[in-house]
Amino acid sequence: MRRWGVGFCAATILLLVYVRLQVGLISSGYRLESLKECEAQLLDQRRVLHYNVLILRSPVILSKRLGERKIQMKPPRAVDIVPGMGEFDRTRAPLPVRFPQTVAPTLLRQASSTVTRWLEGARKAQAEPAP
Amino acid sequence: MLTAAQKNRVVFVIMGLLMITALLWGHLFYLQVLHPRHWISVAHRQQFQVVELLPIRGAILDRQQKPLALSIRMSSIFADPRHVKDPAGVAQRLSSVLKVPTPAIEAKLLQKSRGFVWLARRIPNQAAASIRSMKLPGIYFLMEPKRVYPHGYLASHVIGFAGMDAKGLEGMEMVYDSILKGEPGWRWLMRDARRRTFSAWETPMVPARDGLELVLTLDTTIQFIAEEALDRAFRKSGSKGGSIVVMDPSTGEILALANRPTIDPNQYADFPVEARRNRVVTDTFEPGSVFKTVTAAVALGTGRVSPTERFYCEEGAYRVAGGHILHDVHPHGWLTFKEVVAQSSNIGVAKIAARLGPAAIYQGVKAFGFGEPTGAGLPGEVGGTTKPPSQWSKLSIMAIPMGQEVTVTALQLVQGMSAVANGGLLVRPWIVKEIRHPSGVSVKRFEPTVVRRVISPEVAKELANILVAVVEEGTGKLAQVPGFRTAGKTGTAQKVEPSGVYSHSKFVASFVGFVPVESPRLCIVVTLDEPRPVYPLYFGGVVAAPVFREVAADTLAYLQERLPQDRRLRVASRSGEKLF
Repeated sequence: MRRWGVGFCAATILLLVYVRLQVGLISSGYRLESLKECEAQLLDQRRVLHYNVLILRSPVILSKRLGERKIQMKPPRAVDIVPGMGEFDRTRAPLPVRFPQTVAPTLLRQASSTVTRWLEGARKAQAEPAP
Repeated sequence: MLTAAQKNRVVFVIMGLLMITALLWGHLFYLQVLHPRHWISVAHRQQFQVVELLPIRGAILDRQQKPLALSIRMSSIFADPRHVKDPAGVAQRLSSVLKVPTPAIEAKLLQKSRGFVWLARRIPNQAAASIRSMKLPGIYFLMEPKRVYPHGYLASHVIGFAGMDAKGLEGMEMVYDSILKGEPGWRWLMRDARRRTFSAWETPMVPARDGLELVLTLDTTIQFIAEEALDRAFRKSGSKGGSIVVMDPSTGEILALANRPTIDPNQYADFPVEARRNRVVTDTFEPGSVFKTVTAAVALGTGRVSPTERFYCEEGAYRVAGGHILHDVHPHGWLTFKEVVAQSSNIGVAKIAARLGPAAIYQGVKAFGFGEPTGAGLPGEVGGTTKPPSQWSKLSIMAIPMGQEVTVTALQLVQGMSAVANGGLLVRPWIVKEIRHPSGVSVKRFEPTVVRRVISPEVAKELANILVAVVEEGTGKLAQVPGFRTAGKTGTAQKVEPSGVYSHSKFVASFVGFVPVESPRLCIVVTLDEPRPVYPLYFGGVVAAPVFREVAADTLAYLQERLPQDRRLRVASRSGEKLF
């Protein structure tokens, strides 16, 4: 009788474990599907943002915007070009000058970051293809 | 103790219960063991869903890997009218977001017999997010691909465009549609009672294969330079159409190709159909004086004319066969062969042609690739027309060397001039540099193709010097690129009226040339169709040559680099083989 009882309990436990695994599998399936949708959305947003960046860099759009603002640009003459200026010179050592830094108290910084997070959360930006 | 009647009742009840149990078990056995397929398929249909995985259409890039065409996905909204409980209310809410009249939306939602109706396609993401947040029953979303062109009209005639269903309809989008579109995949999803989907682990899946990418030989910067210059000349001259091609004469790579009028492939439906055609390859015209370059090449190549030989140009009027009088734009007396070409004397060329004969001229015309498509890979290309000597009239011996009675495309002109620029080899123009996987792995690379040798290097060099004289002393002065030796030929060809006579008010103004002469980097052809017929604003040297100069100067400034080491041609045909 005791053996029957033990056997029955073992079988029940095994069955429960199996059911738990199946439930876990299905919930993982939900989670995976949700993550896939999230991934697809992020990839879509990335493509749209990439497209918007390309538009901003397009010579067609740039010249149109410069024209609208009546900004006339000409290529520089040889005498106008100063070698080494206007380019990021990677061989140079960083400047030794240290600028004074004001460090806000820790509590204030935390509060500021929390408020920023709330504000950003309320205003969810959407990646939109530029017209 | 039970009585007999009670016992009978107990037995009767037990028998009844047993019979019901047996019926239930029997029916269960019937459903589960004898006919499981039907119910499995019903459950399968309810629970499983096949989802098509759409591929991403491959991007089209320029030679610097800058995207010229790419795909994004946008939300499209559809409804299942059977599940929409309040069509009027839903329509009103959607109308304010979609900017579509409420009755139009409501009419679609009232079609209760249908399970799918489109409400709006490819809507802005902000609008889609707003509608999603409304959680309207019966309203669903689908992500659809959209083809976008970040540079607008730039290189629109080369790239073409893809339609609503992401199928290529023009240009490279059409020619390489099978490579760009990729292949869809599919996978199974399970669906619960609330129609939420989750992954079906044990089911197979075929991933989508994204389309391959196309790398063109175009350079976006050079394309922009060419388009802007052509656009200004097109508007200023009041022309009906215009074309420009910038090509590397040594390799045949097309660096820029533009036409006017043009289209924006992002809104291709808003433009007339005639603006969509790639005039560089589809439109033929009588080239006029630019064709004298071919005559000069034949003359030097056959050795029947020496560069210093002099020809009397009859002071501008020359009576020819049939009583016709051939005129020059400006009267000339004695001119050397070089001056005949530099001053573009029709009379001088007629006399040279008479010495060459029909056979040599025709052979030279064919050798330079006229009369057949170049094979550049651009859709709609035509080969133009050339007549064999057996079909020539008495005037053809003079007309054809002057660029009449023969029709060419702008691409053929630049190909022919490139042969002079690169030392005598006819190279095939090409537009696709590479086909590659989106990960960057090259699938197929294309190489320059030499069709044949047309003239010897010595003849090419001599001819180049003559064409320099055209620019420095002759009709092409406005094409002179500051700081570089420039060679080229102007053309002002009369168009033929419907009645068959040459027009005195409709011209095709052109200039084709190359620079720098010592080591040509660029070969450019500019054509303007029917510029305003105001003297002298319809001459090729006046209206097309400045475009050449502007494009060449800006492009050389942009390039500003030495020739790369791998610029040597791989000659497919035997070198030194001359055809005449």
